[in-house]
Amino acid sequence: MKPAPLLLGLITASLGAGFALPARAQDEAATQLQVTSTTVVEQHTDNQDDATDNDDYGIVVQRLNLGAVSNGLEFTGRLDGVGFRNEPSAAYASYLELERLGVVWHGEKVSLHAGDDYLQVGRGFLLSLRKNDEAGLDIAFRGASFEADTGPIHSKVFYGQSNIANLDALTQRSIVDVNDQISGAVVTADAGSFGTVGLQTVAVSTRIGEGATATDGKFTGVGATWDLPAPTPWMSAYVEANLLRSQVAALVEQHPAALVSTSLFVGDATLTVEALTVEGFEIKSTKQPAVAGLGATGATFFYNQTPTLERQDQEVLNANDAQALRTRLDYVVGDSGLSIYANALLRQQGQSTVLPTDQLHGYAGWEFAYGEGASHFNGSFGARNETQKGKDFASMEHADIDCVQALGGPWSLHLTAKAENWRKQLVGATKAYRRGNAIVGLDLRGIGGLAFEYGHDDEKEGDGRRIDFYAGHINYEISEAFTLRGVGGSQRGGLKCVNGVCREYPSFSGGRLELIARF
Amino acid sequence: MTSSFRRLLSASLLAALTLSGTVWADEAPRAAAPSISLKNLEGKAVTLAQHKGKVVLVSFWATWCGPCQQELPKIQAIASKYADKGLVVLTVSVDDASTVSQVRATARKHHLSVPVLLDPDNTAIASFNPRGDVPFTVIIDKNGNIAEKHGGYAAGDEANYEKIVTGLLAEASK
Repeated sequence: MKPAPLLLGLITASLGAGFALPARAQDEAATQLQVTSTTVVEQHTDNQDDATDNDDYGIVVQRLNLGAVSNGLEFTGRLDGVGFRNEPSAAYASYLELERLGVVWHGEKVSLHAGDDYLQVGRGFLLSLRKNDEAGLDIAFRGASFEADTGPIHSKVFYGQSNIANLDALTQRSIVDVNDQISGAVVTADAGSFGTVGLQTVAVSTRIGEGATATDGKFTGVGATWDLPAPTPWMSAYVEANLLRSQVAALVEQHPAALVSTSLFVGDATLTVEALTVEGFEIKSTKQPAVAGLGATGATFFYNQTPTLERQDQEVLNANDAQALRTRLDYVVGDSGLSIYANALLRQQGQSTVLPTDQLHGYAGWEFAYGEGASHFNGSFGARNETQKGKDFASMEHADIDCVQALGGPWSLHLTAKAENWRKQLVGATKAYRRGNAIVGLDLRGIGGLAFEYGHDDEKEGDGRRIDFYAGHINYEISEAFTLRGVGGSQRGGLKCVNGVCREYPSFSGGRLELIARF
Repeated sequence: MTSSFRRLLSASLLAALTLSGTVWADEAPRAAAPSISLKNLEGKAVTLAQHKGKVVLVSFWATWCGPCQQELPKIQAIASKYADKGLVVLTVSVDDASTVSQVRATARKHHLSVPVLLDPDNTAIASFNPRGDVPFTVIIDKNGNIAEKHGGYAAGDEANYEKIVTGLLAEASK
């Protein structure tokens, strides 16, 4: 990083944003900026995990988002700056970059977009470029797209490349732009009482392998959708089928995927039934160079994200090679504020691999709001079992609660707790471990809150590893526009899954301050 | 301290101070709202432009978001209370492919009669709230400018929304 341009860039952007605002009158024609600025300052101490290359360093992350609307054009931009102190290795790289820049024009029937944008095709089987903060990833599409609405036909074509945010938010290591080529088209037609039918195609070009042996990888997918959002007041349905052709050197393979999702509404009950099949359905990015520190041989990211049918927070062993069936029943108990639900899922994963895994997961829960909605008491409990070739492989029971109790006036007390009790069969032994966390806090509306967090994870205990984690949180709403958040202490890491995107993230020990400005 | 860390920290603080000055200035103007064009649960296209000239409250939420579940009934109550005074309320689910099938059940649970729009690739929320966190509430004045943006929900926040909405409705009726 070159510090002088960094400083100059940030100050220029900030002052530019600052002076632009009051200089304009408040009327329709003027161009005013939307500004969202996030500043994060962290000091890491020894987090007592196995790794020694993620301790004792400082980081500042500055994200400045700007948006403006003028004469039918919408502009967006994001300037990212990252600076380190005592960075443990070259994998932690300081930089300043215009990470996002886009402009869109909306006509009466058409719109044009140039620059960065998020993009999903269908339910994400063929393409899902979006921001997934909890998984630490932010992948956008950089290129041009054209949309047209002509009567019952809606069409969109796009051509460009991937644009990965250069900071891995989980590990704080740098990610390199690989600029894989992405193009595609989507056409949907309103078929009246038959809902909406659509055709979609996506083509992605990447590099497979590393160095001199790397070869081109080409992924071409086609699919069809049928959306029946409300054919009758008592049901909805969605069907999607896709075929992906992958070509790596001379090896050509075809992979199918399909989803059927229906909901039935009977009185106060909703019954959802979903079935999914995906076979090797993955579109991987070009591999990151090993220097990025995201694994000994680098790492790849997925440009598609298939539905998992699992609960959002659950570990998913294989998101892109699975068959699954899910049923869920939701029931609202009149106007009592109580609703209950039960969910059952069967997933067969990795059937083409040497270790196919069958997973059965059931859970049930309730949500109860009272005190005119100011307080609530929600909870759920469940169990899942995994077998490999008919033998028990892993089992887990889980429970969680989420309570908010209004205390009168602006005060409220909240408690959130979650626990998992695991047993895994390893070679010649059974590994039992527990993990979870609990947060208890006091909130003062309009001002902020204080909270205490306790976490526990003994999956990898021993060798001086920390298994108990304690942290204090503060949230202070300085004004309508400014919020300050702080964390001090330690927080557990581990495998974190968000909708099937599972990543190992390090535990945290140290202090963090975050200032958010929005206006 | 290494120079990059120190300079970035200084620049960030300077930026914050500069921005603070603009916000606390008395005549901070309202930014124009970006467009919204999404499908509702019935599969029909809904745009912000359709409601030009009206006060619009937009609430971004997700099925997996606890505070959103607390806030949605309050948003519905505001919509019902001020519908005949010209307030338009749009709720936008940011659920992705894995959880979108729960959106309709959640809307039924909260007896929502307001439009529920789907933002599966998060383009709409990104244009108002690039951080993408929910719940997130935006109130737009009759000129299509953003009068209020609020992240998170604490019991009682709806009173502030009502105050802003009534002020904007009064402004709109002049």
